[in-house]
Amino acid sequence: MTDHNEALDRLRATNPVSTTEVIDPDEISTVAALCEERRLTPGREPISEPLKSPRREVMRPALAFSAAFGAVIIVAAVITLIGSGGESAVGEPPPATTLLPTPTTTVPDPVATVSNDPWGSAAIWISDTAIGADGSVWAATSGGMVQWLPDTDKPTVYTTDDGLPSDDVRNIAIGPDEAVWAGGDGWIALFNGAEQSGWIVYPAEDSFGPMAVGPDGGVWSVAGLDRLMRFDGSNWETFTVPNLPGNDAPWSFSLAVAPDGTVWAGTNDHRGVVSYDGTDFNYYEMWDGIPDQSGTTVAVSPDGTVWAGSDPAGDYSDSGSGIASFDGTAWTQYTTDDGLLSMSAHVAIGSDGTVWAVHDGADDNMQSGASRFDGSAWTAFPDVPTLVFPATVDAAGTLWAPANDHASIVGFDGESITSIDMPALEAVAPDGIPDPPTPQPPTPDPAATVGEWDTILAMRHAGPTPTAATCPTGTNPDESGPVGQERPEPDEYSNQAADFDRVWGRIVYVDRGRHTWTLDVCTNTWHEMNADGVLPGTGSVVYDVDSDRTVLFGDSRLWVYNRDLNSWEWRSAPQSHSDGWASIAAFYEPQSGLIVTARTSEQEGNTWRSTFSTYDVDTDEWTTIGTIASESLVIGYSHEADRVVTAGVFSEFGTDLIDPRTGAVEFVGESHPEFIGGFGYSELANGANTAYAMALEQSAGTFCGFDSSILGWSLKCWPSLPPRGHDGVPPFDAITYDWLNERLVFIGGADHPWGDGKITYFDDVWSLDPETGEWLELVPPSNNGS
Amino acid sequence: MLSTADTERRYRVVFDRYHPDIYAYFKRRIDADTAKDCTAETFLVAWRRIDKVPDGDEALRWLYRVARNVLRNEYRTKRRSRNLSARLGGNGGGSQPSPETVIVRREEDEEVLQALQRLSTQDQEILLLSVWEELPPIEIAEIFGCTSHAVSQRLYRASGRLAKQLGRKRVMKSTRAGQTSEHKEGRT
Repeated sequence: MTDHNEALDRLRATNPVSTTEVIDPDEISTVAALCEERRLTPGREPISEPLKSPRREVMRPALAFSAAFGAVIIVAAVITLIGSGGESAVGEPPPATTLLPTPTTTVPDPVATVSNDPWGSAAIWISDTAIGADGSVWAATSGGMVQWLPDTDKPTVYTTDDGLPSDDVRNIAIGPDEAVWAGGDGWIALFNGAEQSGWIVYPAEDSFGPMAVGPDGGVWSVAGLDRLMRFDGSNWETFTVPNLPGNDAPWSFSLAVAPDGTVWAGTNDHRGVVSYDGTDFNYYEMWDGIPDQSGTTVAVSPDGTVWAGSDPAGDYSDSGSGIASFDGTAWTQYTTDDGLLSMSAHVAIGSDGTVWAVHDGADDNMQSGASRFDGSAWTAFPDVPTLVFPATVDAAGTLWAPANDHASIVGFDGESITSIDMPALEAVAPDGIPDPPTPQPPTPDPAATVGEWDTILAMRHAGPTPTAATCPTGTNPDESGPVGQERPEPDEYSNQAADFDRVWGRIVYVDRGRHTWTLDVCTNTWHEMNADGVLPGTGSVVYDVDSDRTVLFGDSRLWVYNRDLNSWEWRSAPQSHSDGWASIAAFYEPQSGLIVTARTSEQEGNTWRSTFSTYDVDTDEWTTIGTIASESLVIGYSHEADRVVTAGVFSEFGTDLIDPRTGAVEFVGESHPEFIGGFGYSELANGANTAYAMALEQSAGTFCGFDSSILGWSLKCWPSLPPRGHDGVPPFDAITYDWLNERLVFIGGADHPWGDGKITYFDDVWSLDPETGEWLELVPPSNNGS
Repeated sequence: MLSTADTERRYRVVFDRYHPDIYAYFKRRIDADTAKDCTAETFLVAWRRIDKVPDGDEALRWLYRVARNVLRNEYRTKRRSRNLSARLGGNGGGSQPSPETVIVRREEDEEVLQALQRLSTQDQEILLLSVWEELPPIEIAEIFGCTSHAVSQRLYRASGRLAKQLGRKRVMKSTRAGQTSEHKEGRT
């Protein structure tokens, strides 16, 4: 065995550039030149913290604005605060001196340097913006969802690689529960955290408009000519807006929900503002006091005041435009006479109640810029870059809006500007399919959905998760269980299955003798349950979190275990399952709360057909979802990737990921190269963002991880299973994930090697910490062990 | 806040002193062209955050921290590119770059590097910072944001795991060479 020091010495010897080695001076000078070139690129000045002065200051412009694509640029500068009549914003006297350094670069007039033709100048279109509960700036774009975490200058881009159905994202809505929703053509998606499975996708109307989240977390949107919709996390409810003047265009392009739950929609074509309080629709038009504009934007203050802005959309008229607010009784209009910079004004409101108007200068006669409401009048800021709707306001009252060339998002707090450049993204073509970077010859997808795919998994939602078990005080899960304890009898001919009962804190296992055993993962002790009910000797075991029951699929039937009664309930399977469960993968699908089975029953050449069904333990209902044709076999479900994972029985056959909700099949490459000889048994367990596939048999017991974060096979492989493992022999019978201790558990099996007919028992239990890769013996082998 | 001249001067000191170290850091892990690119990216961050760059030798540790993040982004970009290419039917652009892909090595070196790659990313990095960069635990601790005691423990465990991988590799080789044909038949 290699020791620590020898290993380090050998590693030291592999250093490609030793610390005593002098790198070629020419090479170093090349590096230095590249660094200088990049550093001196305009717009990459050192970042200065925005000046936080207790007093407003009137200073000369030091506006730095970059419209360049590329690395994120944050330019903090101070612009001239020219309020109405040149007065300071809130009437405070200007300071005697400026505290800012002289700008180091010449700052061009932003209006002159930014294209006024957003449709023609940008590869990426920013469709919506929002501020997350953590202060993140979010942008929905035609190249994906972009998030800038607070105080960072590196954006995170979420695309189809992260689970979005399309890179073309149209809408964002963030709810009071901090949930981040994205919307696109025919779908909405809930952000599940960057470290989790990314996005949970739900189908929606083919095309829908702006979104807003109500105080109860329901997502509201609009569609078609007269529909208002609400998504409760499972189902869409549709409300037809009655008596809405007819028009061929979508009726609303702006939506907001008041704290009392009333939905407010801004319409187009001079149809004013529509509200819906859950019972009645109300209509507000020009003669009620709202701006008479082609389009109306709405926003609601935290105090419930409704604000309506106006968008001329090529149909500008001075009469009745500007901004209006509604206090529940009457509308109050604001125009340039009240300090508003321009009569074309979109409105955006922050959680602190700050009201901003964005003037996009859409008409040649209008000025672009921004205005801020101080409670009674507006302060105009004509010198900010030209901004466009959709705008948003953060908790500190800073306005964020796309620059009108959509190359950056500009933050403006009334004093300083922060410009964050859009990252380089691949724009999505109108058909929603990313353009390939270079023309590629078409490669046929080896997998395809056969026929229709039922969306039951997308439309169902699991109930509350039952309270998970915890280890009692005094127990040590890392301590090996009793030596010589009674234990289940492994099967030398077929692999058993086990799953973890999260409420009980035990692994449920059915052994060769059809006896029910449980392994207490806090004490690492086996318990024979002597449960009622006659069981088959083989099958798949699945713990159904939603019903808090363990299900055994065996022969052509299934059994449901009630731990309180310690009995198995026999249930019949559909006629289509009468050929048994020999080639079945079964797993719990956490979003829908249903068990999914994949039966592989047909083979044509190298292609198998796997039929997917759902089983509802509570109602005993089966639903056939659809069929996938693939040269690979289903090996399980990856929680982190939220995909069903398949692997070819030989490495040259591919790995597909199947979205269980849509049936979409994604080919992610060949199976792991270590599966050189194929494998006859595998099972997936989850943990640490990696779903681990145990591929035994011909690959000499290779055990590899499918890395959910990169959607591919990781390099984490163990050529022989734990310390007692025998190379070339499959010593383990079942693998499952211990959700309580967050580790994989391997239950030793038995081997019936070809040739000599002798059975070798491996009846020990080991765990693997997926974070550290460390093995731990949980149950020592019996005397039967080899 | 520094004046423009002071900013420039301060950056120049940091750059002149440490850019060979940072370039070497990247060159030990990725191909030369990408290493140059990542070095430039690291010093761009240093330039734009020059107010945050600490004085003295701490600057190098700060730069290593930035370099680690730059490297992670590079890997992430490459993985995305690979996955996208795979879906579009391309060749995928290969896997994450690693030293053995860019430097012709002895078989002995390859064995060590393959064993290294089987370790977790954290184990790999802590070993490389210690063995290749020759940083003491206290400096690695600053990069990782943990105590030097924790670094020492992790180093010990990581070297143990590397040793096991190296030992296991030898066993596996000999076993596989002697595998019988029955093992390749599989079971029903």
